[in-house]
Amino acid sequence: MASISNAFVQRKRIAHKPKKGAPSTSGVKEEKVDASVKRDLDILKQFDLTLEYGPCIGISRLDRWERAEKHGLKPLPEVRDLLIRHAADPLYTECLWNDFSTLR
Amino acid sequence: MIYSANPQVNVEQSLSNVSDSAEETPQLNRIKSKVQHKNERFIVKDRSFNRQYAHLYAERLMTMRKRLTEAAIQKWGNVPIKKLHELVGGERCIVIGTLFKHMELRPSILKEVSEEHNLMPQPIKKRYADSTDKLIIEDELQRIFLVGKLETQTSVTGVIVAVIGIEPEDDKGKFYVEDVCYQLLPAQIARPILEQDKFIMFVSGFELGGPEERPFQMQMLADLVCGQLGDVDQQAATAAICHIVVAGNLLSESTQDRDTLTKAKYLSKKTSAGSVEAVKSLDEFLAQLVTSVDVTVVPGEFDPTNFSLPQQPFHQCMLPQSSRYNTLHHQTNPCDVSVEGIRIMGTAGQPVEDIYRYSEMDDRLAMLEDTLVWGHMAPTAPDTLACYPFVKEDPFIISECPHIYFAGCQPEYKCKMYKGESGQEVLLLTVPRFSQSGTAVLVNLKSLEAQPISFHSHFPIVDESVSPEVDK
Repeated sequence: MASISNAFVQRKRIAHKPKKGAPSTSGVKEEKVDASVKRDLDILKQFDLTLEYGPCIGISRLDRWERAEKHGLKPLPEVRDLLIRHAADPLYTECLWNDFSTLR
Repeated sequence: MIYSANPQVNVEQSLSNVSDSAEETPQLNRIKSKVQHKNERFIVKDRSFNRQYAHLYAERLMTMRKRLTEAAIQKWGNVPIKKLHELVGGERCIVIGTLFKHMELRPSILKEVSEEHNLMPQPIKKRYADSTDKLIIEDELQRIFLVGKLETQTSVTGVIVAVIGIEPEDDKGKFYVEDVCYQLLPAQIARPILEQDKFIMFVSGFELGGPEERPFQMQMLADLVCGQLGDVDQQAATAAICHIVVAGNLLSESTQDRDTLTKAKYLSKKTSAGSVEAVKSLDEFLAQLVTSVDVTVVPGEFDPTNFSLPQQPFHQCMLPQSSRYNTLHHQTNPCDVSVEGIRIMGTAGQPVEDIYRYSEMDDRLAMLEDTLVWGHMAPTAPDTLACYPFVKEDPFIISECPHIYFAGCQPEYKCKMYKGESGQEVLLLTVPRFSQSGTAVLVNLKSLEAQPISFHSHFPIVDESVSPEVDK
């Protein structure tokens, strides 16, 4: 039945919820992976927070990187590599504020 | 036989078919012209409106910064160019950034909301400039007030400028401007040398469907262009018109009735929109012209297309008769077209109108010239002029210098030859509203000289208030 509450479906977005029941073979290895992911995300966060490259909300990180490159601002090539390697993961491709849907 | 570029429909109509004795009148041929559309950048492909305008400003500043750096170095030599966060008090330097004009009278939704707090309601005004306006320059990170030699009255929001000056130690937060510098106008492709005179006609503001439409004068214009008016010499002259640009407001504002939005459906069900009839007569009018000459149609503020710049071309289905001819060129607003290698850019007048509203300038031609000097066709977009939220580029930046730069739907006809520093020659043109003036503009592509051509009809005005009948 049509009503106002199903016309505007509200869905809460949860920022990168860790998957339950993920295979954990060895605790040490997982810690290592986590550390590298954290380092990668830190690099991307720093990229987002570099204001010279322009605003970041609403466009993908890759678009923003390409814009910076186009205008000769020399963004880190490392960032681009990271983004291409994780092209399917919105945690990598979208900017830091992506989960705050009200900002867009 | 009249020539169009590549007629899809075979046009079998003689220019001089007024006279029946064909052997006496010479055969006049329409002068051909090559038309190229250069407006790909104004075609909006993905209509995504969930982005902020910040990207457009960022893109504009980044693109223009290179050009301004060049201009500033050329003008002032070796003075350090600083970002605002690098400013040191008391040091003379150059700052490049976007102008923002702080205006008290500018309509604001927040002020309207604050009515609830018993504040003064906003005055309804036609122009919002005021003596208390302040100029602010901003770059990616910061903003700072500008004082000194930069005229607030003639500046508008959104222009990228380079200013040289000092932020004094004892008056922090203000930048004292010594001098201002705008971009270097991009180089111009040399104008092709034409062997014969070719004319292009600019006309705007037919305002069909409104109280001011002038069907008789429009018919005169169509007849003149198609060679149905005047003697043989006159017809020979009009055969040299190779292109017509119709620059905006083909339909009147009054065709945009909003009754259907506010009224109940059962009340407005049987009324047809005022624009339907107007579009029909527009189609018939254009169909006369396109059988004989290339016509470029640029939509304007009140035309049935999208409202925000860049306005997309008319859909072919709206003009079924005239769209069958490939001599009808649907353009965007702003338009960018090349006729015989002469680059023609312009708008239907909204950017100029908006600058008029938000500055104290009165000369429309000067505003048009300013937009060329600033290197941006619509600097007040997206601030006070509706505009699509572009991300990858700012299409309004003038990156190639036009030969003819026009604004349609203006109160009067004016023209001026603008001469750039590196030899660019641009014909600036304000095209008057046809419904007001009955005037079109002819430009000779060979010499870039412009001349107005007026259509007048003198009918006795019937005063309907006086009844012809005697008292009963």
